[in-house]
Amino acid sequence: MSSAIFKVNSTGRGRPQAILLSVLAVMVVVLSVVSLFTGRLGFGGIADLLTLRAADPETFRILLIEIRLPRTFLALTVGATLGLSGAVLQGLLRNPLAEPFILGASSSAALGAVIVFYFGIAGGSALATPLGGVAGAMVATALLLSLGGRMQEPLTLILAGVAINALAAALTSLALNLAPSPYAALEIVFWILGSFADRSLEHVVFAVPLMVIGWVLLFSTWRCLDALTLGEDAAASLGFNLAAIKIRAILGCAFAVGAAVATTGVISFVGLVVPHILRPLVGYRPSRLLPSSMLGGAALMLAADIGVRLIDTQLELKIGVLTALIGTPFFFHLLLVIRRSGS
Amino acid sequence: MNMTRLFILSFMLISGPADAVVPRRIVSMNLCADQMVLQLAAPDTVVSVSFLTADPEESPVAHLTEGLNLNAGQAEEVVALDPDLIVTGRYTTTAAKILLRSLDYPVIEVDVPLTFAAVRATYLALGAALGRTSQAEQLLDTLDRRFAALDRRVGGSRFGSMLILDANGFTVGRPSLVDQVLSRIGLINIAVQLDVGDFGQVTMEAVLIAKPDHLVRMAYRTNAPSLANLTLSHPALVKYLGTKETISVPQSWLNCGGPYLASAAEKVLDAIEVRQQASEQ
Repeated sequence: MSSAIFKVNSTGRGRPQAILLSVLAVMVVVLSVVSLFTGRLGFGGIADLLTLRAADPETFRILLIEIRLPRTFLALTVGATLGLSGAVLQGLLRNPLAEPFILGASSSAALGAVIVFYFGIAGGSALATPLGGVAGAMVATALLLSLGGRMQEPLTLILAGVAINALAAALTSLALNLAPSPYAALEIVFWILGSFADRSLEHVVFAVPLMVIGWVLLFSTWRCLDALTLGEDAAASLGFNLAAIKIRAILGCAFAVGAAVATTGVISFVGLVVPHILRPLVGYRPSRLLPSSMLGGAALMLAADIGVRLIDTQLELKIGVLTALIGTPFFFHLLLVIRRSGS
Repeated sequence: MNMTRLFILSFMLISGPADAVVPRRIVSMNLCADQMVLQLAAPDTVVSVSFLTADPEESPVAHLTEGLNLNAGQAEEVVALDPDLIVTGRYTTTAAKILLRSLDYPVIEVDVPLTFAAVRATYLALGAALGRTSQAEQLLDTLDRRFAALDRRVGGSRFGSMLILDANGFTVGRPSLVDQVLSRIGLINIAVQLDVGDFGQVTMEAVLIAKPDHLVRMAYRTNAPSLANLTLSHPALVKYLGTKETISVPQSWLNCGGPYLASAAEKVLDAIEVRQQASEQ
């Protein structure tokens, strides 16, 4: 395995970790505030909003609470979900390329959500759509983690992810074209590239609790992740029940990623980039990567969502455009690292 | 190939110039053209209209399409119907129009009118082509009377600002016939201030800040779930509206100009008057 990426050392304990987490937390808070005060093309900088508050407090309150707050809160929680899932999947599979998007979990979640939402299954209620996403993500994650044990070569697993991705994207497109609403076929852009625009507090109320369930399950794997750096046999000999850990990771990913994607569409590469940047800063300890990747994911997503609002395009840019532009160079870099360490 | 062309050519020569006869087998290939043709043509002279027109969500004259052949705007299916007049619209595919003309079918094009004068000209031109000029004049007279009645009801009073909102935040601005109708019934189209052109998108935040006095929601397939329709029921909009009720108008009434635009204007004015009476009491 690529020991260059997964070497464990004892530096970065204690105080430096607290500093790293504090810095990330401050970034998340600052970016959240900036996000609340950012409108389309920068409208509603603090001065504009204060004027509006003075002139028309009721509209100001609705704008802030019903439009800006859900957007900011979803960017924060979805970013945290993707960062955390990426860190857990990479540790569990000992594969630096593993993350919900590349492994096809996100696309499968989108498929599940699309089927439930557009065909009005379970009344198409606000809770049914995220649950559809959870079901879709669960199928993909379970498939990959059951294959993962047999795929020693990291790139083979990624190829399996490519196949799942292609299938889920094709079926999503098919479902949208068959959907009764004539708008559905045009909305594929939302599902494959993601957006936080025009989400409401209702989305927050139904998606975030499911994401939190996922976070708890994902965090419950943390002790085992360090032991797994020594290999599955070593981890098992240390008393870890690997089958149970995998089931918790599958369920955790399914709940967190499924609910996230059902609410904001597929957002790529966040789970790849964030753990990769933070790994050296946590002394290459997979367990320590979890809280910092969560905060890092939230910060990256908030920044990207501020970015799409400031770029002057006729229609607002989908957020997946920015994350893919940031993410693909990392992906290529990691491919080269794996090739080098593999040969 | 040459033989076919020769055959068609000789056929055309025998049957003489098409505009001299009143068409008996009319095929219309466009949503708005269909509406106008069905309003003007003599009974049983229309053979086919576009499939969209048979759908009540798309066209207010869907009830007139019973028993008609429905086409998808392709030349092949039209030729099979052996029409003596083909009515197309601006959005009928250019390839189909060129092909049908090259096969020497009489093809006319109907554009969506953008002014009241253009409505008159469009209906009169189509009426002439169908040999139904008196029907066209009758329809225009009724339309004029309805707008004159609206003018009397409004009587110079102003009812504040209005925004028309379609799924995904699309709205109608200026220049457009809808915008002129709004002015005519004493409303200021706030989309013009938001600088959307004749048709464009506004953000939910812009709607809140512009604070229109009235909101017209274009109703279109509201029972089929989509993200686009979800934007119309966003809680921010619902809370902003508070006691103000939105006025729902079928999207198909606003698409083509003509009599249904008067229906839309009447519905909007009814709703505003009811609201005013309620607030006076």
